[in-house]
Amino acid sequence: MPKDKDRRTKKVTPRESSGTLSRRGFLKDAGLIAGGSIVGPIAGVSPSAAAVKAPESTASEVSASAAGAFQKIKLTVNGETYEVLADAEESLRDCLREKLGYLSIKDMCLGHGACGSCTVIVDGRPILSCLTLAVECGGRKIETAEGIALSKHPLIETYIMNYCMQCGYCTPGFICTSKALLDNNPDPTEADIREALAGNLCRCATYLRHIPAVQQAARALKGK
Amino acid sequence: MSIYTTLSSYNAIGKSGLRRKDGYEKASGTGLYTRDIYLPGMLYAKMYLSPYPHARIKRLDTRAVEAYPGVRSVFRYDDTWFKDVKWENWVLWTLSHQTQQLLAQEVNWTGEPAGFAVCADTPGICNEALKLARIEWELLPFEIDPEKAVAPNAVILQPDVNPTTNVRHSGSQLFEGYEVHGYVEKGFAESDQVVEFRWSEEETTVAGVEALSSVAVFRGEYLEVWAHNQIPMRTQTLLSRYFGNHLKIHVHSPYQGAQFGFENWIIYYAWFPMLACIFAQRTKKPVKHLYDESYFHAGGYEHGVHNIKVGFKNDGTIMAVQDRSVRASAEVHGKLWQGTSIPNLFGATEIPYINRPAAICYRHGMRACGLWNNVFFRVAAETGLDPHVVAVKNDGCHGHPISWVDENVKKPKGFPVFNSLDAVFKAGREVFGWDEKYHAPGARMLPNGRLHGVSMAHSIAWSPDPNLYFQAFQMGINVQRKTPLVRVLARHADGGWNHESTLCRVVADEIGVKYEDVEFRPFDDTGLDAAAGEGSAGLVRTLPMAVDTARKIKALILAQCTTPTRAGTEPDVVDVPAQFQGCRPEDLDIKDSVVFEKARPDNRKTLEEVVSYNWQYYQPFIAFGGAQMHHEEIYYMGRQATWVEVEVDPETGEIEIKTVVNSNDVGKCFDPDGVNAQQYGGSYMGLSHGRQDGKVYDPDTGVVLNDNLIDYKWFSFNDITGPMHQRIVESGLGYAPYGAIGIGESLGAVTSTILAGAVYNATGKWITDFPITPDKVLKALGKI
Repeated sequence: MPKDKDRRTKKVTPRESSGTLSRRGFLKDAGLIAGGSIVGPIAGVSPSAAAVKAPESTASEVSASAAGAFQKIKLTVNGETYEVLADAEESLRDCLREKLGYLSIKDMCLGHGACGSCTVIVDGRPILSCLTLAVECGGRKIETAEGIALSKHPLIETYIMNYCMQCGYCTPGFICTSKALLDNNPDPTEADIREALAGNLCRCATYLRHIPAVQQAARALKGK
Repeated sequence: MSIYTTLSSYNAIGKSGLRRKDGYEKASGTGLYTRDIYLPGMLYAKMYLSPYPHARIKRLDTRAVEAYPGVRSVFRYDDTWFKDVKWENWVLWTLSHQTQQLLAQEVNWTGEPAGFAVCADTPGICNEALKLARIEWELLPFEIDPEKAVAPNAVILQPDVNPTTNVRHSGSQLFEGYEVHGYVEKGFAESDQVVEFRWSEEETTVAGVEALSSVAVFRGEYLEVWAHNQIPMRTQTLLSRYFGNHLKIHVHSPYQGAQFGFENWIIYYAWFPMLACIFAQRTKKPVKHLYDESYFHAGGYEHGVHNIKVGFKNDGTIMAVQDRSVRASAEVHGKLWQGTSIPNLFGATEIPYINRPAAICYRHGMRACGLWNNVFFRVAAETGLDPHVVAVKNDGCHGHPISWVDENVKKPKGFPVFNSLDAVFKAGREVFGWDEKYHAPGARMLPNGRLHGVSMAHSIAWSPDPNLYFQAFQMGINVQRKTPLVRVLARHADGGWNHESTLCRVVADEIGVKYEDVEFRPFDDTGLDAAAGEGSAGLVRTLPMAVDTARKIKALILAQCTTPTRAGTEPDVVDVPAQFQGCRPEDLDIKDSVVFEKARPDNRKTLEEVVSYNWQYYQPFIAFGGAQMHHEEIYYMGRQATWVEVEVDPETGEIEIKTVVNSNDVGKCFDPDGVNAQQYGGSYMGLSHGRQDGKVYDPDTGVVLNDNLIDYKWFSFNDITGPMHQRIVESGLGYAPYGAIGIGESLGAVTSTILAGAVYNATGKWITDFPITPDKVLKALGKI
């Protein structure tokens, strides 16, 4: 079994490009370098327009920031498209969670990129949303655990039946990583699953049960 | 009917693969945790944290904080509120070297909430505002090493409390930490060998994954609170002391991200939600208090040093154990007394003031298991006996051999005469392959150049003191008319161990309904003391109430089935014949949600038919129950064991953990998947404590250097690379209904020091300074 000596950085490495990890690639994947998808700043946008469909206003946050630092972006989350005014420094995690109400996105390590509990899938790749800028995700397709559940993906049921949670705080992050794995690898081995999930921490240590859960979901997907 | 009575058959109880009641919410991310509570217009609060390990605020200027845009309120340590409410400084029953305070003026550890807290529109504004206070500090001498704190020339850290020593004396056995049985000097004199050694553990953090938070809102004269804790009732009681009528305070405990144990969090349960309430009262807004740093500062095992002396016969019989320890919390020695036949035991723990966070008593913590493991490891090594032989030789309770326990406890009290340790060993030893893998210390080098080692650690199975907890729990059950749905009415307090599902299993089998027909949803305002158990052994604590209440509701159902009634008012009075005419309640039973006559099983009705039958004329099916129990003396008769196989790299000092086998006597197993989750989960956590968990302090500043999950690494998926096997033994030797014992905390505790034995077996060197990091291995091997 491969020893996971580099689990903290593997998490943001494109799964499909195994092996080569450049500094720029790492930073870009981690959202530390602005990509080409940034929409230009929108001047004079009222704070109340900070988010469409947002469950609650964050007006104070907006008013406390410098005008012009916001960018209007379109996020497609679980098939729903939102127009969001995102602060240039705003993480994707905060944007999805605080503005759009996707509470499955957790914050175990409080933004250090160390735990995987904030994992979401962006254009098919699992990424750490706490280290990704929201403005970098304009126009991209985002999936969260809520959406995976609503799509009746077999992972949800195999996770329940295989006891893949105790306290459950990290579980949505595992769901996203596992779903991305299955999207890219329909027949993962135990080693594949261990490798893919090495960056998701579970203090209750449910790790073992994720192996049969992912493999059962893979079989269910093949049977469809 | 006694709650000890077992059922004639089990359906949901003991069955693997039942769907978790909380499964969908947790897998889909739709389950709410305290951090997920958002209320309209909600403000946020955060505390200032001390940058010093020991210092006193001489002057605090918060004017700039108050003037910062978006700040709504500031609460200071010198607020008149403390006088108004007769603040008691929250000494509480802190089982530690520390006295936790709410916003201290004199801080005792780096990171301690100090001086003031701020309430603002957003967490970001809180963070910025906290930086603006001007604080004049008086720096005080500090000490983070407990041994140095009790040395003769130690600087006195709390001269106002005790001008001559740092050792804290509260007058209770728990605080002083003494345990004396027999005469150890006599035992040493009767021994063939006497060995002395030392072991120590570094302070760890539970690294609870959801940092503490609480939300409070006043709704008119009612106070509503969401608190991240396992004891909402206790929080409610404490808040009532400061915010009025107990009945007008409603405390919810949503799902909780990994919070281990509950006693160790009491101080936080007590004062942490307080700040949210204070700010909510002052701002007239909902307030969420975020204690982001708590996941690192709160809970965990404390730093401790033990000097141990063991006397034993050459056949492995342990004659005496003496432990003199210095650590931040007591409760070290009792376990060794509770679960062995060792006749002479002397344990003394000095608990000094030191400048580290409060650490709390775990009954089965690393301290108790570390003492136990190290004693047994040494005796096996020095006698050359197989560790299993030494374990069996000294098995017993309260200094008596297990044969005495058979005759004087099991038989007279109606327990089965069952040898738990034998059964536990039989279940786990072979699957581990002990007989093939065990070898002399340092005797097996693998083809890959690594040193192979194995170890076995045993213990008493985890069970809380039933006298302490059984009487505290109450719940209700309602069977809904027109449907067969059975609803458990109780307060929510989930910690992740699937207790809700287990309660539903018990209720289902006790009544005779399908597991799928029993639901547990939070009913936090019922006023019942507790529901889902507090702690991983909560089942044992709450089982009596579930059995008691379920049997009451079953009696109600069967009584109605056999009771005609005459209802209504003239002229509309109606005669309602009994559903099972001519039968008495004892003639009937319920199985698979069908009521039937025992003598004529064809005479049957579905539960849905029964509860729908002329429902308007009968009393509702609702019952409340609890149970009070008292036992003169508790004997912990269940046992557990763990085997571990490692490879030690002599070039890097790394320890790779290969095979792990757990075998645990749970008395009666209700949820095999849950029991196994406790076993492998506890192993991951315990082995992580043993190999790498540990705070790193800068000795010059007293500052923690690894207070985040980048630098403080606990086990991830691949830190155990080999197979893990779990075995469950059911002896019926517990005090709870059906003979249940419990499981939980001790798995992590027992495995936390098992690596000492495995590394010794691999290298022939003792390393008992935990965690066993690579540098310690290399040093022991003479490589550095």
